[in-house]
Amino acid sequence: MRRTWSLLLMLVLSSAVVLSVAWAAQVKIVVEGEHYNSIKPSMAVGTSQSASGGKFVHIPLRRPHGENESGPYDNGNAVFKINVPRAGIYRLWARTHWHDECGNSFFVVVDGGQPSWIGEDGTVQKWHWVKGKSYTLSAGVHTIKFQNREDGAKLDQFLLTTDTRYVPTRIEKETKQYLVGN
Amino acid sequence: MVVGHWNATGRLAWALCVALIGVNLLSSEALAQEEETKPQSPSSDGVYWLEEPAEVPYVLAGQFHKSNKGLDVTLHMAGGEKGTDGLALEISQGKARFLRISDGKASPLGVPGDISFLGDEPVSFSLHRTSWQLDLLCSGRVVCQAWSYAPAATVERVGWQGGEGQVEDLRVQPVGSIYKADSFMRIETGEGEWEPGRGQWRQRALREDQQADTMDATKTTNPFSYFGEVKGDEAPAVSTLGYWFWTDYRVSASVRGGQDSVIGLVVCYQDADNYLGVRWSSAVAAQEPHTLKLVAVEGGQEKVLAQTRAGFLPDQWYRLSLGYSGGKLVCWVDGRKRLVADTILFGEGAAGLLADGAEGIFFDDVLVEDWEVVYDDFSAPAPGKWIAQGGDWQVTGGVIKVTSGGGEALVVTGRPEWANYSAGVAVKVNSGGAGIVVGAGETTQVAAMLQRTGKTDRLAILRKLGQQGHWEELVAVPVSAAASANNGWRRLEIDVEDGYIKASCDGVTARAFVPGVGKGRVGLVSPPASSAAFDNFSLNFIPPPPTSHLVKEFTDVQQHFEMAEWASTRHAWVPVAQELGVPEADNPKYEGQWVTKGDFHGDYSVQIPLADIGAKDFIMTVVLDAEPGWQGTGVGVQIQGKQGQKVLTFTVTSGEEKVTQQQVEVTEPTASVTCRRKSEFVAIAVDGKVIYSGKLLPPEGTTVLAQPAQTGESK
Repeated sequence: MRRTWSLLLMLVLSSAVVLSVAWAAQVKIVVEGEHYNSIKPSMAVGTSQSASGGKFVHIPLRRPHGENESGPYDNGNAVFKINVPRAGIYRLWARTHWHDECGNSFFVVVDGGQPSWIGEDGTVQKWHWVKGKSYTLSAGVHTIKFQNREDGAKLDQFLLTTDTRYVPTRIEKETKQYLVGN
Repeated sequence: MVVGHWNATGRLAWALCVALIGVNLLSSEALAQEEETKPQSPSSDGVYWLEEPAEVPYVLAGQFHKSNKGLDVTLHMAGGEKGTDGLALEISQGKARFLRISDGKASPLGVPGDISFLGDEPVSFSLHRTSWQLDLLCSGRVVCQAWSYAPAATVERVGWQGGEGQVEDLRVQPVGSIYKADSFMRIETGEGEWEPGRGQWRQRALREDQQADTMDATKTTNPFSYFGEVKGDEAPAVSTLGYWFWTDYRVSASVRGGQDSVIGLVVCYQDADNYLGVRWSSAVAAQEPHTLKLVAVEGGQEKVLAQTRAGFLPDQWYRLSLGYSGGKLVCWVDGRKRLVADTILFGEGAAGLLADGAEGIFFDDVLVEDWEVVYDDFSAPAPGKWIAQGGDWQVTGGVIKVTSGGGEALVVTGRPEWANYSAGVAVKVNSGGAGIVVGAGETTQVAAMLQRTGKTDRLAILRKLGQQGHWEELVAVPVSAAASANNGWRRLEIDVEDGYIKASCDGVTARAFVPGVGKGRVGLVSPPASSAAFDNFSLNFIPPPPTSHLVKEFTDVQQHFEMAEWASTRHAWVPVAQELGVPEADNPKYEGQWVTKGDFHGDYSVQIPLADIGAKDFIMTVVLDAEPGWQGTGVGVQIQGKQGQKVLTFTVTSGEEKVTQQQVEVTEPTASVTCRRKSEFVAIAVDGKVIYSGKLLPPEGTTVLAQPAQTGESK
C-alpha cells in the first residue's frame, strides 16, 4: 500500500514538472536605461524627446574625443538588477545612440563576469537597436552592468529575450515585473 | 518521498517516472514555444487569438499547413470594437484575398491572388501590415495586396480560424523605420553588423590600399572601406545586413572595382541562391563589358529583369543604389536613375553587397534607409486603394476617370503622414482640367492643374485654404498643345517639399512657396464640368538632404592630416582665414568666421540650435550663397537676442539691401532656427514654423558662411 502511494506521488510530481515547464512561454525582459539600481560617473542621465520616457543614460562626450586609443577615461557605469523568471539562453539587445564611430560601444558585464562589448556598428546619430551576446541565465536575480568603453555612447533601453527570432525595432514597453529594487 | 524495499514492479515504476521527467524536460523548450504560438483552444468566436495584440506596423508570420482536403483558413487583424471586425486574409479554394469586416459582414479589399501552388508540406508566409498597405508573401513571392489606412500604433488583435488545414507557429514581428549606415571606420577585425555569406570580406584601411601612395582625395570618401572578393568556386561573394522582414528600402554604397570585377548590391536577400540584385561590369571587362543589369536570382538561377549599356571605369569611385518597394526594383548610379523593373519575387529580405569577377570590390559609406514608391497603372480595380471624396470614379479600360457628378471630383490615396514627395500622373484632358492635389484633406491643399480653355492649355499652381475654401491661383504658365503622337496624353508632375512647390507638364515648370504645405494624402482632381482621364500614377519620396554637424572634433587637422583633404558632407568646418591662406596680419578681419569643406551644391538647409535664450546678449549671422571673403553678397540672416528677453530679432539682407526685419517671441530658453535655400527661395523657420519666405536667389548655390556670436555666446 505504501509503495502504491509512493508510486502515485512520484507520478504526480513528474506531471507537475511537465506542466510547469509546458506553460513557460518566451521571456522578454525590457529595462529603461534610467531605471538603474546604481550609477557611477562618468555615466550620467540625459534627456531626449526621442528616448523612451524622455531619458537615457550615457557616457558624455569628452573633448578632445576619439583620441585616446588606450582605453576609456574611467569605468563609469550603470548597474541593473533583474529577476529572471526562468532559466534559459537570453539574447541581449540595446537601444543606443552613438556620437560617431569613436563613440559607439559599451562594455557589458553580467553577474561580475568577463566584460564583453556591445556596439561597434556604423549607424551613428540615430537611436537604433544593436544586437549583443547571448547569456545563459538561471532563474533568479542577475546584475547587468553597462560600462564606459567610449564616450559619446547613449543607452535608452536594453532587452533580454529567450526568443531567438525576435528583433526589436521600436521603443519597447518596460517589463517592471522583472526589475529588482527599483 | 518514501523509499523502501522495492520489488521489480516498484523499480520499473521508478524508472518510468525518471524517464518521464527527463523526456519532458528535454522537450520543454519545444513545447513552450509551441504553446506560446498556438493557443490551447479557439475562443468562443472560433478564432485562435494570440495572447498579445499587435501594434501597427507589424509582420504576421507563420506557416500554412494544408490538409488532404486543402487549405481553408482566415487570418484576422481585428481593430474593431467587437468580434472580428477589422481586416482579414481569407485563403479558400486556392485563392487568397483580403477582406474588410464590418458588423460581421465581409467586403473584398485590394487585389486577390492565386495560392494554389501550396503543396503538402508546411509553407512559411509573412503578412506585412503597415498603416496603409497589406501584403501577403508566400513561397518567395507577393501573392496579394490590399490598402487600408490605420494610424501608426493602432492596436489589433491577431489570430486565425479555419475549416481545412491550419496555421502554425503564428507570431508577430514589430516593424520600425529602417536605417543602417556604415563607413567602416573601425579595427580591421570588426565585422560590425555584417554577415558575410559567400566569399571573403574584410575591413580595409587606407594605408594598405593602393591609393595610399597617391593619397588622392578626389577618389574616395574616407580612409576606411569594406573589401569583398570571390573565394574558390563560390560566386558571387555576398555580405548582408538586416533582417528577413525588411521591405520598402534602398541600399546605397560608394563602390570601386577593377577591370575584371563585377560590382553589385542586393535586396530582398533570402539566401545565397535567392535574392534580387544589380550587377555592374566595367567598360573594359573581358567578359560582358559595359553592362548594368537588374537581376532576380531564384534557386541559384539568374534572370535578367532589365539591362542597359553602362560600364564603370576601373578604380574610380561611384555611388550605386538599389531600391525595392511594392514590386518595383530601381537602380541609380551617382544619383541618376538608370534601371527600373517589376517583380513579384520575394518582397522582403536583408540588404547586401555583392562582389564578383576576378578582382575584388571596395565598398564604403553604406546606407540602408526606408524607401517607398507608389505606382498605379490602373490595369485593374483595387478596392480601397483610391477613396472617392467627390464625384463617382471608376477604374476602367486601364485608366481612372470620373463617371458621374458635375461638381469638383476628387479621389485620394495614401496616408496623412506622407510628406515631401514627388507625384506624377498621365492626364488626358478633353475639356475643363485635371490635376494632382497634395495635402489632400489637410488645412492647406495645393494642386498642380492642367487647364484647357478652348485650344489653349496652361499649367497652374492653385491653393485652397480649408476644406470648404476655393481654389486660388498662385502662378500660371502657358503650355504648348499636346503632341498628337501622344494621343492627347501629357505627364503632369508636382514636387512638394516643406512648402516649396514645383509643378511641371511636358517640360514647362512653375514654382511657388506655400508655408505649411508638405504633408498629407495625394489626390487626383477634376474640376467641375471637366472630362479627363488619368493613368500611370507614381509617387516618390524626396529624401532628406545629407547633414553635416558643426563640431570641434577634427578641426585640428595637424594630427589627422590625411583627413584634411577629404571632402565629404561630414567634414569639419575650418576657419576662413586658414582656408583662404590669408597673411597672419589679416586674420583679425576673419575672426569668428568658419566655412565648411563639405560639398553643398544646390539646395541646402542650415540648422542652428539656440540655447540659453535670454541669458545674455548675442548676435549670430548666417550668410547663404556667399563666397568666403565676399562681404556684402549672398543672403544674410542675422539673429539677435538680448539678455532678459525671450524675443529673437531676425534681419534678412540680400547683398547690401535689407529685405525684412521680424521679431519672434519664444517661450522656451531653447529654439531651433532653420535657414533653408530651395531653388531661388529662402525660408527661415523657428521651431518648424516659417517666419519668412521669399524669392531671393538665383537657382544655383555655393558655400555657406557662418559667423558665431560677436558678444556673448550661444551654443
